[in-house]
Order: sequence, then structure tokens, then C-alpha cells
Amino acid sequence: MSYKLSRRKFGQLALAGTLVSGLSYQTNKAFAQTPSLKIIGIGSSPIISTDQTDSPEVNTTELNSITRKNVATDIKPVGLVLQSLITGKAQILTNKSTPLVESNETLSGFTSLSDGTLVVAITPVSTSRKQATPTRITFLSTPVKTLIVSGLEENQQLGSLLGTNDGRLIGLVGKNNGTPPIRLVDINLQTGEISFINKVKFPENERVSNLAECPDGKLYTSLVESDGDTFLVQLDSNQKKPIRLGQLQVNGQAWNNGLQSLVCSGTGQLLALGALRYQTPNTMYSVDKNSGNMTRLQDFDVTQIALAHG
Amino acid sequence: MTQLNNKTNLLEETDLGTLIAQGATTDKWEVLPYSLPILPMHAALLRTGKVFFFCGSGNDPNRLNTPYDSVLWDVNKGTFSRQAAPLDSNNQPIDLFCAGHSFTPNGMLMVVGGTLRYDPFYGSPSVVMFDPITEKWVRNASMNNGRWYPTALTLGSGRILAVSGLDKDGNLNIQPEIYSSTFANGWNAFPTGNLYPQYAQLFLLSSGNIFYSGGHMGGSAVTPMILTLPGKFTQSITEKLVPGLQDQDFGNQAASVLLPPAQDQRVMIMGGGNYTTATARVNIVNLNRTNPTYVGSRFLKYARMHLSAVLLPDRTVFVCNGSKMNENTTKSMLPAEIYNPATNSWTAVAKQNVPRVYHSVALLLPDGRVIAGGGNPSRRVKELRLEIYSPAYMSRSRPIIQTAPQTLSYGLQFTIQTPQAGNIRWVSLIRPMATTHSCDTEQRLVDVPINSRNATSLNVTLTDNRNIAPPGWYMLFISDNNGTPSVATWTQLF
Repeated sequence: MSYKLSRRKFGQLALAGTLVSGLSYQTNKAFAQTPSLKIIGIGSSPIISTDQTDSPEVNTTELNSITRKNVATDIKPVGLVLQSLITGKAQILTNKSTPLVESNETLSGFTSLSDGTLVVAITPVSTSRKQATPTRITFLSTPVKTLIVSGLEENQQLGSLLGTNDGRLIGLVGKNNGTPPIRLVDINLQTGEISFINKVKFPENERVSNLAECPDGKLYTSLVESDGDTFLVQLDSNQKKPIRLGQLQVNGQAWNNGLQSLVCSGTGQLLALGALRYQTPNTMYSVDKNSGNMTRLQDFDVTQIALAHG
Repeated sequence: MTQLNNKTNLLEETDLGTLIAQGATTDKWEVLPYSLPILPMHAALLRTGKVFFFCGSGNDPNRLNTPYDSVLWDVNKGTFSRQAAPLDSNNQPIDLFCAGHSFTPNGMLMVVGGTLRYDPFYGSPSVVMFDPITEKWVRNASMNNGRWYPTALTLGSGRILAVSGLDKDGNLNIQPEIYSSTFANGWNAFPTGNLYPQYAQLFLLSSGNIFYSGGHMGGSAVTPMILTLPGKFTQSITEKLVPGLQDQDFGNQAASVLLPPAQDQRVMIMGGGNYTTATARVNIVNLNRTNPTYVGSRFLKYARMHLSAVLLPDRTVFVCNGSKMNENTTKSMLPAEIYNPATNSWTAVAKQNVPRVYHSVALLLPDGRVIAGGGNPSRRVKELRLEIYSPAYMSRSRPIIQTAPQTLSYGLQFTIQTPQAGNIRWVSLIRPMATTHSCDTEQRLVDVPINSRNATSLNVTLTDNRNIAPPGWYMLFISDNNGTPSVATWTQLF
């Protein structure tokens, strides 16, 4: 079974696999008929409790409030959920030999390479649970391949990923929890080693996330100011400083919450995944590159999105 | 600065009983001469009588990896002590901004979740406890997923239920989970499927079921419902909708309380907004009924969201803070209001001096006063002034508790020594508040019926239902026939 997903292949994959009830969305018919929007979403699968012994509640007072092991060790691996925006079908991906993701890790990046292979970046959340596994990128191919990301400095994390038109994998690296300074990096597809790209330099104090490349080769990202106002930014290797294109807005209201994901379709349409502050679930928007105006397309309750090639 | 009540406001009150009770004295607000060192987004009254405030990164993305200290306020001394942010297993500070919290039976404050990331917000799975005796943070087992804007609710056993909030990837966490020190990993999760809103306003019912009132933070309206925990973690929580809530779309930053006494099982929701304007709507539901339905009640005198609702020991509900429109402080200078459940009436009382909107709090002190703090109309504006409300009863002659047990058990018959025994109307246990974002799952006033009395003592019996009075520390008040309460003594129920 291949995880290099074209729209047709994804449909076959979903039909062959387990459909996750409750995760499917009603397809927006007009949206589904747009052939260039082959969007795949990804998220963590639910935690499955197999515990048959513990009762949720008891009729006695439990005075001891600290768990015997204040560093729990048994972290249940969770899978990944892939979901098609067009069909709404979802499938859980698991790997019995190596957990794809654990409950103390975040999905910090997701993209498709030029050959259609989907790649996800997995970053540990620092918690009181057991020492987290290292940052890695996982290729959802057959077989699933995982590379440990090397070259990150202490307290650096790998964020957004982008498979470029010329076959490279690039990403954004910041300090803990997406804080600046943010650097653009190349990620070696064979070794996982990162190298910093110095052609583009982001302002030291600005939060930058998400990467998208349009068919014309132009790179886009989003920049978030301290109050949450979000701007669409173009990266041009000829101009070291990013170019602000416009403040993101929806229905005349300033977008105040950054973006979860940004992709560019085969026809050059920028698409964003996100939600206004305090709102759920995430929603797909088309983004006007000139004005920053966003037009709501449909809800899509996933963590990251990528464009399926093919 | 002290502002006395304008007595003409009292003349608006049509309820004679309230008028008589308040007519002889005045209430007042007083801004303290010192300010808090941090924005008090999260506030809890500890069993030592000190008030605990924390804000994590304080709604400032630049402080995400360097959160502010928490602060313990000694009310009597007027001093603050500070505690550095708790550390995770990698010695990185945990950001408790927008966590949820409730008390454990031994009086520790369990704080679940917090902030992993800003814009978009990702929730932390971290769990820490604040020990009121050592005055230190203690790390506990993490949850199975992150929660930002969650609700924590102490159950009848003292276990703690965590629901909702944004998870570690920024999606709504739809797997409720329960903490017990007896569980191998501390937390066990239920299956997916429960779409509860952020900071869902929850109440533990006498049946052990849980009521979601319709009050929440942000997001879309979710119909009020009664939740029933299953017998196993492999099963889902079941839901029964509770109809009748007016202005259901105005649940954002509404406030809800379990009306006193808790035995009546009546929940009141008041105020809230819909992102453009606020409502004065007040609805009450009697959850002792087989098929409970919200019914309309007397409206607030002033529409408001971001409000705080505090149970007073005279068995009324005090409301302050908030704004007529979102985080607009120019529309927030509203008189406080008091609801009397016995007469179903609201009375406008003294106007607070400081406008308080988003990220403001208020809580009851053991002496019967109310502390109000906070306000964060934008990320750059932080209201640090503290203000104390003294209800009218503070200036009256008050009954005195001479002795009372320091520990209690369910169904216990016990004695309270008081020289005013012949004039005592009520004995009440009030669970201290632990509040944020207009959400508080802790406060409740439990009636302790008087069996008999002599000139100097009361014989009373405590409920035998742990769901009416979850285990933990309580303030014990006695109130005289005018409703004037004593100063509280602390007692632990287990």
C-alpha cells in the first residue's frame, strides 16, 4: 500500500482502510468539483483506552493527590489520521513496529514532496512524562521511513515543512514553541540533517510560520505580530528581507490567530488552514495574495494540510 | 479610595426583605493602596486564607518561554510572596496561561494544561499542583493530550475530570479524562466524541452526573446538557440535553453558579455575549426534576459579559466586573448587583472603581468580603489594581463561631459553639473559589441543617452525599436571622 497520494489513490486507500466514523465531513459539492484542490489533512489519532479495570469514579475519598509515579512512563502511541478535504474520508495510519507519533509529540509540519510522498515533522512536547523521542521527519511511503533530524541547536524546534518544486525539502526552525528567531533551513532528504539558508533572513523578533510555494516558484509564509495580527509574506531570494504583501482579514475583520497551514494549489491559489482566536474547528480559506483577504471555503478539522500531487 | 453606595440605588429595590436587610448599613468598594505584581488571570482562595494568583505568560507571546512568577497574597498582612514558574522534566518553565483548575481533597490546587504556543494556541498536557502549606509547585503526571482553555472539575471522590481545551496540535480536545492517584499513569481518557466548548461551565450534581450550563469561552454555542460518566473508560460519556436556555448564543463569557444551597440543585446562568454585544439574560434550571428545563428569571439590571459571580455567605449571589460589549472598558463601569434566590430579585449595589473586562476575577474571602482584580482589554494593557467589596453585612454586628470541628465526615452530627446560638438561622459550608475566565467549578454553598440548639451551641448534621459536598476544605459560616454571616472557620471534609 502506498502513501504517495494522488486524489484517486487517496480514495482507494481510504476505501481499503478503516473509515473513522465521526471524523468525516459533509463534502462541499462546489468545492469538491474544483479539480485543482487536492488537499489532504493530517492529525493525531485518538488515544484508545483498553483499560478494563479502572472505574472512572468511586464512592470513597481519595486523599492522596500525587500519583505514585509522578513521571508516568507508559505513553500510549497514537497513530496519524489522514483525511481528504474533497471526499471527507479519513483513515488512521499506524505502524506496529515503530509508533508514528506518541501522545507527547506535536505534528509541527506536513507537506508533499514533488514525487507525491507525504512527509510529516514530529516534534516532542516537553512534559513530565518520559524523555521524549527526538525531532524527526517521517515519510509516509512504503515502507514508512523515519529520519532523525540533526543539526538543531539546544531549544530549537523544527516547524513547518515544504516540499519545493525542484524536489528539495525545506523548513522553518525556531526556538521552543515557535518563538523567534526563525530560520529557513534545508533538510537533507537522505540524512535528516538541516542546513541553514542564509539567503532569506527573518526579523529577529517576529514569529514566522508556514511555507508554501506556488507553481511560479514564489514562496509565501505568514508573519504574526505580538497582538496576533497576521500578515502574508513573500520570500524572495533576491531580496534578503521578506516582503509583506498584506494583513490577513476575513469579512473585514483582522485575522488575529496566525495560521495552522498554508499551501499553494496547482493553479497558484493560496489556501490557508486556521481559525480565528477562540474559534473551532479549523477552516479552509482561500487567500488573495494582493490584499490578504481570506474567503471561507469549509471547515476542516485537521492539524496540518498538504497538497496531493498527481 | 473608597466609594460609598449611592443610596438612591437601594430605593429601586422592590423587595422589602432586602430593603430592610440593607437599609441600616451601606456597602462599599475600596481600591487597595498597593497593586498586584502580575495580572491575576487565575485566582484561588487557599485553605490558609491566602489568595493565589497566576497568569503564566500573561497573554504576552514574548513571555512564553519565560512566564511570570505566581503570587501568593496574604490578605491580612497585605504582602505578596512569589513562586517561580514550575519546571517540566527538562527543566523548562511550564506556561500555565489559560489552564484549568480545581481543588483536591487535601486542599492542593490542581492546575491542568496551559499554553504550548500562541497564535494559533496549542494546549499543554502538563499538570502541576500548588501546595498551600509548603507554598510550592509540585509536578504531577501529565494528561494524555494538551488542553488550552480546559475545565477541571473535582468529583465526589476527589478525582478530577478534565474536559475540552485546545490540544497539543491546536485542535479541540474531544477526549475527556480523569485523574486519580490510583491510576497507573495518573490519567485515563474516554473515547472521542464529546464536543464540549472551551472553559465549559460544569457543575457536579447530587447524582454524580455533571451539568454543563451553556456558559463557556469563545467558540459556538453548545446546548446545555447533563453528562453521565460510564462504568468503564472504554465507554463514552452519555449526554442528555437540557432545553429552554434563552439567548443560547450569548454563552460566551457568561457566568453560572449553583444557587445556594447546593441541595436545591438549581443552576443559574447570567449574562454573556455574542462577540458584539452582551445580554442581561438570567435563566435558572432545577436539576432535581426528572426532565429539567431552563426557565427565565429576573434579568440582570445591567447586560454584561466577562462578569464574575460570587456566592455570599448570606446566601445571595454577588455579580461584578464585565462590560456591555466585549473588552470595551468604556462600557464596563457598571454597578455591582446582588441576586437573592429567596425573593428572585436583583439589587444594584455600589459601583466598582476600576473597570474590569477580559481576564478579570473576583472571589469570596473568609471574612465575607469579595476581592476583585485583573482586566486585560488588550495584550498591552494589564489592570493590576486590587479592589475589595464589603457587603452591607460587614458593618453590622456579626455572629461569632467560638469552636467548630476542623475535620468533618459525611453524615456527621457535630456541634458549633457560638454565643448567638439562639439567633442563628443558617449553618453553611462554602467551598473556596478557583476561578478564571468567568468559569468556576468549585464554589458551592452547602446547607448544614440545624437539629437542635441551646444558648451557646448548635447541633447540626452534614449531608451524607459526597456529590453535594465534594471532599476538600470548606469555609464554615453561621448566619443570624438577618442573614448576617460570621467570619468563616476552615474545616476539611473527607
